[in-house]
Formats: sequence, C-alpha cells, structure tokens
Amino acid sequence: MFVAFKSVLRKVLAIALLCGVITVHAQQNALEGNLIFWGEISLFESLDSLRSTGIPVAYSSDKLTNQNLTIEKGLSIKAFFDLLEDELIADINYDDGQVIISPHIPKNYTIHGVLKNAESGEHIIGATIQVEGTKLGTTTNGYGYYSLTIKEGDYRLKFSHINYEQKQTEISLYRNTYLDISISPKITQLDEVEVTSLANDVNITENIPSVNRISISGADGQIPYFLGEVDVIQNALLKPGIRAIGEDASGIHVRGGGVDQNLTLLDEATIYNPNHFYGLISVFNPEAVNNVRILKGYIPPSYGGRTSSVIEVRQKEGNVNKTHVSGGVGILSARALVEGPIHEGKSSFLISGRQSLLNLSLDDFASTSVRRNRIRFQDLNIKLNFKYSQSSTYYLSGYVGNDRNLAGLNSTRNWGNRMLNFRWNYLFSPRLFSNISVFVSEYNYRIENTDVPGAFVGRSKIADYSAKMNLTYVINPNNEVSFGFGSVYHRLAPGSREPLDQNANTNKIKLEDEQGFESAFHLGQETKLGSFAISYGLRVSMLHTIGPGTVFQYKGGVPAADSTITDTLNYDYLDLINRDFNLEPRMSLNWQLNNSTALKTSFSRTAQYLHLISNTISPSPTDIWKLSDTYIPPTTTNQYTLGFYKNLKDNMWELSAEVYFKDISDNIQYKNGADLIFNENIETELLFSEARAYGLELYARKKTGRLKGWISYTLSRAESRIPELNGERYVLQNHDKTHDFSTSWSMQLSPRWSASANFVFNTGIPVTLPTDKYVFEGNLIPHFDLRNNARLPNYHRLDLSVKWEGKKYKKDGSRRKNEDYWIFTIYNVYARQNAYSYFFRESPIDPGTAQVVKYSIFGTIIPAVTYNFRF
Amino acid sequence: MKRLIYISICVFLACEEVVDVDLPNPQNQVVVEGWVTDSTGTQPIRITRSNAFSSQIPFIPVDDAQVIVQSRDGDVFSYTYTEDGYYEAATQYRGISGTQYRVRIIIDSIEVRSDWDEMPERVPINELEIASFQENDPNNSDQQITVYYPKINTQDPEGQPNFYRWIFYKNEEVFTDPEPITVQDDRLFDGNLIPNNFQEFGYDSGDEMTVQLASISQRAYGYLSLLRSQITTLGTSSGTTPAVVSGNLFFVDDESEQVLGYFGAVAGSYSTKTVP
Repeated sequence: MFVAFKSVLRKVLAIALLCGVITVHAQQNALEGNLIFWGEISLFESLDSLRSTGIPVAYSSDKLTNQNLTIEKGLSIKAFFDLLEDELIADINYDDGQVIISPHIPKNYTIHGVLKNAESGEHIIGATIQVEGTKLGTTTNGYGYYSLTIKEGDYRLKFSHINYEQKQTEISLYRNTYLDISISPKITQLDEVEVTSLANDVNITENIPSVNRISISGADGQIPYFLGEVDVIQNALLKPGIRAIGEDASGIHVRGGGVDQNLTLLDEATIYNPNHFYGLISVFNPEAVNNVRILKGYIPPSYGGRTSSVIEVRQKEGNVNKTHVSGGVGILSARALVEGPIHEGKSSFLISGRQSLLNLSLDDFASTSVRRNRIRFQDLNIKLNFKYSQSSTYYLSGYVGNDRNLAGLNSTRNWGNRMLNFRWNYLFSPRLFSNISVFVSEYNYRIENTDVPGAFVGRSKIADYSAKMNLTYVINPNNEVSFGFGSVYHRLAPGSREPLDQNANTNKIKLEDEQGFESAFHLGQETKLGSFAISYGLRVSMLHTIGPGTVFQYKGGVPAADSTITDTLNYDYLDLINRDFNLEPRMSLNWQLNNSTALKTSFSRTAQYLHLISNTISPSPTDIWKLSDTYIPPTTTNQYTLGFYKNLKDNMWELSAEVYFKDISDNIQYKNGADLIFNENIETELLFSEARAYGLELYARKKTGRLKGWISYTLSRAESRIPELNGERYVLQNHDKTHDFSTSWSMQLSPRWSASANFVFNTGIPVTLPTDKYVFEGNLIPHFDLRNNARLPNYHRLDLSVKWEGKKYKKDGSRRKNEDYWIFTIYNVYARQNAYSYFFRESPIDPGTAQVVKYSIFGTIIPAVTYNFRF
Repeated sequence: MKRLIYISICVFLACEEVVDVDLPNPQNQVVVEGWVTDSTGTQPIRITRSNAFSSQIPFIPVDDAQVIVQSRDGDVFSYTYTEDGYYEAATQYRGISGTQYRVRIIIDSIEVRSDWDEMPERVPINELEIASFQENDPNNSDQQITVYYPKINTQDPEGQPNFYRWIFYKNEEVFTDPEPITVQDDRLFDGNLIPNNFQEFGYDSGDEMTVQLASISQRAYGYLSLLRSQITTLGTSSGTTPAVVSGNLFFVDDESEQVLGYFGAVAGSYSTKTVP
C-alpha cells in the first residue's frame, strides 16, 4: 500500500518537473528571437512593443523611469534585457513565465584576489586596501588574500604596504570580480635618496592593540646585530614590552610572561626552542624568514595554547617569476638561499641553509683546554607553494635545525627543532576563505657519552601532530566572521637513558611517555560601526591526557612527596587520564577618532596546557616539557590593555602609548633544591604561583625618509607570589626591569652608504644578595634570606653598523643584475662591562673574606663583518 | 689559524670584577657541621654562627654549647669544646652502619636538635686507576701538558638506593677546586659497576692521589646537592634560585627559626696512589 503510494508520488513529481522544463524552454525560445525594433526608442515604448509580440513583460510605469534608448539592429530579446541590466537601467527577473522589469536597485558585489610582490610573485601580508573617497577598506590576510564587498559602482582602490610602492587601480564593480594586484617593493634609488612615498596607517586602522612587526627586508635588516647575525628575536628585544634576562639567557619574556608562554610559530607550526648558541641568536635564518608579527596584548581566538604572546614567523614563499640565489657570510655563520619558479607564475620553491663556521665557545678566554665547551649549529628551511587555481593554493613548509655541543672530552649533546607543515588556502566563495593546515613539529634532545664503561645515550623528545581549519567569512567590509577548530596530539617522551653499546654497563631507564589531545573551537567577529571597530570572540580549549600512564595518589593534607604516595593508578592505552577545559573570551575595541588617531582597548583570557620544567635562571636545552595533568593545572592569564595611537605627518611618524595589566594564575614554580632530572613524580617538586605584571609602553617610530627608526620605552613591574613560601607578599620576578629604553636608527648617507645605531638602557634585573656567610667544611657559603632583594647595576650599550652597498650600475649606465653589500658592526661600542649577574666567592687573596663579584658576559667591543649577495 | 679563530671569539668573553654593594643586615644563624664516621675517632662537631657577608671575620665560633650525640641504640656520647667552634667526643668512638645518630645541643639554654640520620653500609672502591689526557699548556700554548685524573670503578649494591659522596685529596689536602662537593646517586647504575672519570680533578706527576668514597643517607645527599648548586651555579645562566640551604637541624621549641648545616653519619672507603 505504502509502496504503491510512493510510486504514484514519483510519477506525479516527474510530470510536474517535465512541465516546468517545457515552460522554461518555451520562454527561452521566445527570448532568442530578434527584436522587432531598433534605433532610437523610449524604454516604455520598447517594453510595450515586446508585450505586443507576446513576451509577458510586466512593469510599473510609476516606478520605472522612462528614458531614451538606442538599440542596435539584430539584437535578440534576451540581449536587450541583458543590456538593460548592464546599463543599470532596470533589474530583470524571470519569474513564473513573466519577465518582471523593475527599477535598478544598486547591489553589493565582492572584489577579491591576492596582493603580490611584482618582482617575486610572493603574496603580501598585512597590506591595506582602501576605497578612495570612502572610509571603507580592508587588509590582506595572513596569506595575502583580500576580499571587499561593496555597493556596485566605479571606484579607485589604493593598495599600500610599508615596504612597497603604493598602487592605485580603478575598478568598475558591477559583478563579483577577481583581481590579483602586483605591487613593487620600495628600493632606495641610486639617484633619489629621499623616499617620499606615503607610509600606511595600519597601526591606526587595525582593530587590535599591542602588535609589533619586524620585516628584515627593510631597515630592520641593517641595524647592528650581535656578530652581524641578522636576527628577528634580537630585533624584537628592542621593541617595548619584550625582553630577555641577559645576553646569554635563552628565551624572551613578553609583558612579564614566562619564556615558555610565547607561542612561537614558524609558518604556523610550533617551535619549542627558538634558540641557537645558548640564546645568543634565534633559529630563524634571516635568509628564509620574511616577516614577523608579535601579538602582545590581544590574542585572536584562532590562537591559543600559550598565555603570553604569539610570535608569528613566516618564511618567504619563493619567487614564482625568476630563479634567485642569495646568501651571506659573517664571522658566525654562512647562509644561502635558492628560490625560483617550478612552474612560472604558478608555483615556486625555496631552499635555504645556514651553518655556523667556528667551534664557538663561551668559556673563559684563558681556557684553551680540550675540556672546554664548543658548539655548532645549522638550519635548513624549505618551502614550496603551488597556486592551483584562483581559489586554491597549496604550501609545504619545512624546517630542520640542530645545535651540537661538545662538552668535556667524551660527551656530545645534540638538540633541535623539526617541522613540516602542509597548508591549503581555499576560497569556497569570494567571501569565504579557508585555511587548512596539517603539521608535525618536534623538539628533541640527545646526549651521547662515550666514557667507558658507562657509555650511554640519553634522549628526550616532544612531538606535536596537528590539524586545524580556520574559516573567514566576509559579510561586508565592515563585518567579518571567523571560526574554526583544530586539535594537536602532543606526544612527550620526557627522558630515556640506555647503554651506548653492549659493553656499556649502565641501566636502561625510561620515564613514562605522556600523551594528550589539545583541542579548541573558536568563533569570532570583527565589525565596524562608524568610527568604532570591535573584534571579539571565544575560544573553547581543552586537554585530554590519555593512557598508557600512571598516576600516583598522595596522602591528603600534607605536601606530596615520595613518602606520601598511597596508591598508584594505572591507565591503559587510550584511557582518559585527565581532562581540562577552559573558556577563553577575547575582546578588542578600536575607536578611531580621526584618520590619524585611535584609542584601543582589549581583554584576552588565555590558557596553557603545556609547561617547560626548568628551575634555572634561564632555560637549558635539556629542560623537558610537561602536559597539565591531575596535579598540574593549566596556567591561565587575563590581560587588559588600553592604548592611544597617533600618526603624524602623513603617517611618517607612528606614536603609541599603551598600558597593560596581566594576572597569571597557576604558574609553575619549584621547591628549593627541586630534583627535576629523571624524576617520575615531578609534581612533588612543584609549587604554583600567582603572578601579576603591569606596565606602560611608549613607542615612536619614523617610517619614511632618509632617517628611519624608533624609540621604545617601557615602565613595568612583574612579580609573583607562592602562597606556601611568600604568603600574601609578592616577590619581584627574575626578569623584572623597571625602566627599559631602546632606540634604533638607520640613516641613508649616500647612495651606497648607510649607517645605523642602537642604544639600549635598562634597570638591572633583580638579584638576591646574601645577608650572612658561614663556613661548612671549609667552604664559605652565602646565606640568603629574602629573594630578589636588590638589583644589578643599570645596563646600557651602544651598537653601530655601517652598510656599504656594491655598485648598482654598470659603466654603461645599465642596472647590474647582481646586488651585494657589506655590513660592518660594532657591538658594545664603548666597551661597557654590563653586569650579567653577581656571584659570591671567598677572596682568593684574603681567605675568609667574602666578595661580591660582578660577572659580565661581554667585556669589550665586539666587531663583526658580514657580506651579503643576491643574484 | 685555529688558535687565531679561538682568540677572535674569546676576546669579548666573560670578565669579572669585585664590586661593593650594600648588603642586608646579618641574621647570625646557628650553623652545625658534623659527621659520625665508621672510623674510630673523636667525631668532631663544629658549632658557629653565620656572620655579616661583608665582615672580615668569616664566622663566629660558639664556645659555650652543651653537646651530646645519641644513637638510636641508646648510646650517648658527650662532647667537650676544643677551639675554633669545634667540639670533640670525650672518648673516641665509631659509628656503626645501620644505626641512626643525632646531635642535641643546648645554646643559650635553647635546644637545637638534628633529625636521626642512618649510617649506610660502606661501599668499597674496586680500583683506583690514574688516567690522563693531553691539553695545551695554559701558560705556553705551543706546548702540550699531561693532566692526570682519577678513574674509579665502584660496584653498586643491587636493589637499594645508594647515595655517595666523593672527596679528593692531593698530597693530603682536600681538593675543593673546581668542585667543592661531588655527590652521586645510583639511579642510573643500580647494581652495576659505576664508572667514574673525574677529569676536573687534575693531578701532576709525583702527586699523591687519595680518594674517599663516602656512603651517605638520602637526606644528606639532598642537602649536599643543594649546597653544591648554591656554591657553584649562582650567577650563571644555569644557576638555580638562591635559597636557604636547609639541613636536618632545628630549634626544638621554635620551628620558625632556622639552623644551618647538617649532622649526619657516613661510612667511607679510601684508596691512595702516587701519580707516576
């Protein structure tokens, strides 16, 4: 019965569909006939004429404006209707066998495309696109795409970016349009030293506060660097709110946060240890790195997992037009890069390497001993990109880096990061952009000791396997929605140690592996209302730690220790061990007072599930990472930022003043004498602190002209409190610097010569001075009471560099194809012996008397030279 | 050429300068230092007070304390003051492995006591070898010199956690530079031969090399490790946080006040050789 009914229904449907098709066909056939009129005719006359020939035209002479038309001979009826639409005379709707002619209502259309570097074809990130004569505009996203949906009409679009020549293009937007735009990089011309083009005002227009950008293709690439090694992290340290403890201290502190609280991304993949050579330089090979963006205040909902900042480092894409080789050699390292098209205009490759040149050492000068520490490092970067169609681009990025340290006679330590990332940018529609990325990222450490008979190999590793998808939907230029989700599978092998070969007689030991899924969903919106722009969103993050694993149970009411273990819980493969969950709301408001002034405020809540376990002043490459678990809660931070931004003289000067307040909960701290090496129950050595940080950051930057540079000043405080040790009292954090002033300037002196200088001044970091001394077994021991009760002397340093460019023109006046330049650097020009630390010892001359000794890492001026080329 | 490169990298490196800084007020804490050993002797204990860090006087001896050492087995050893803060047992004695000892001290009519510390079993030194390597003479880089160092294997007892302390003597003097305290545990070697290459302790031809292997308790190991990190790592980037080095001593009536130092029991093995 039911079956029969279904079959009848199907027949009815089929007939109905057939009728529909016939009607449409009939109508289309009618429209394909030619017009019976041509020449000068009024609109109403023409429509009436059509109606008289049987075309079912419907219009209202009250609404439609009559006007004279000139019609060519031989036009089809359909073409006539199209003409009416194209000329914006009327909108035509074919509805129910009728042709409805209504007055033209202006519609919104989307123009989208990619902004490219005219020379290399690389996509340009963060460029501004403005619609002249309106307040409408947008910026290219992190992949160089832009999308503007505006009312139909003729417009002039202005494309600008600080490192590129501005470009204006006229467009007629009466349908959705795809438009790739190429703009040329700014070059300092031989004959015109003065660069007069306008700088952009992204700092005013962008919704969020506290962003620093570094682009080493510009002046950032020629300021003085330690040993001449161009380095984005060293550059970042000259910006407000970003600092390191000292010269050979690994890791940076952003606005009072910890060194493990920065999300450092290389082409979107996490880099766990961004340092080479004990933190003196970073792993980012300047040859392969394109630009860096540091988010210190507002963290967009698409980012998470670290609570202090996001450091986005992007590799160059590779030139799609021409093959180029560039490189350089300095006293520290040599580097080279090859880039070029695989398929001209469509796909490109890039491969770059860097190798340290010497057996570097930071030991005493006096020590020529074979026992001294020596270090070498290398990097390899690759990138492929393939533009498959207007709507699809594929990228593959890879990085391998390594440090190798010979310690003593028989011990070799290796550590490094690896990363491989596949990314797919896909446009579902001109207004719906997606980025899908899949990556693997790993940090590992290996020690090999060949001392017989105890020869051993020790290993430690953290690996991430991640997939994520982000989507952005541009509703209109004033309204954009983004959403996405992603998950990272963390796999941690904190440590193992096994005999090097069968002759070695050490025991095999292994700490239990940890594994967990860190997942997040996020949703956000950016919208403009008059002079207000708001970005807000929510990130829902969670961590599931899973078996196999063991969790110790401790006796309640007393501090957890080996001796208070009451039970051991064992979890099998894939068993859920622990679950953490956080809601992370983010909000940022930009009130643009006028073209050159803005007031911004933001709030960010962030959660961190992964912690670096390190109780030394500066982290070491051997430190392990640990997932939040039953005993280690996630670290959470709330940050409030308020900033005032002002540009002067057509954006030549960029000024900002920002204040921030941060409170950080459940920061990991360590008990006195914590044993962190091969410890199975590390939770017994940990304490948790509440930290707070606040400060004022002033920044002024001159972006154009012969003289470029910036001044940065930070007044801040970072302190923390461990309830078990300090009660209610807050103690200064080790990286606290009250005043921190940096300035960097570059000046074009002549077509081939330019000079740069950096000057930094900051309050010395806190130090703990002893109250007493005592003797234990003949050793003079300092006795400490309160932590961080004094400060090191103020730190200041001046660095200079000179850039000398090779001839740009041949004798016959034509431009040389090759470019080359030298950079001469002097670090610490007036040879100040800045204190790195104090240490305490018995006087070698006067036994029994104790001394406070100031230790400086660099005691003299450090000259360096690098040679760079490109052809 | 290689030397030139080393120099070019090294000229800018580390320099040290003695500085004058304002120091906080001293606390003059009680410090106790003493080990009951398994060799017969007066088992001296030293009691001092810490002094201002900037003072010319390294410590203040405490000369009027009443001191006794107790064993868990009920033995009591009374001590008398000698000099320089030292107290010695009235009659010589030796500690016995497996027995717990503690000290009780009355200072200014307040009692300071240590926790019980158990003397571990003595672990023998299998063989003291003298190994060597060549390196550039620091005074004359054209010449090579030979550095001799102790290489010692010890057999770790199986199935129990062991904690060791090494003490080196050069011509009967304790070797404290560069490592004032050398401690070790058997986590990586339990039940195995523990190989030791003490390359940091360089000897010259003709020196008398004596090595002591002391078995210590876990608590003593923890104390010495922390003390070591506070002496050797402060001021370096791998330094730990400066902190009070707490031992196993306390005021009986007032736990908030600290007593510095350690009182423990050790069992030692010795080996001596002359460097050829």
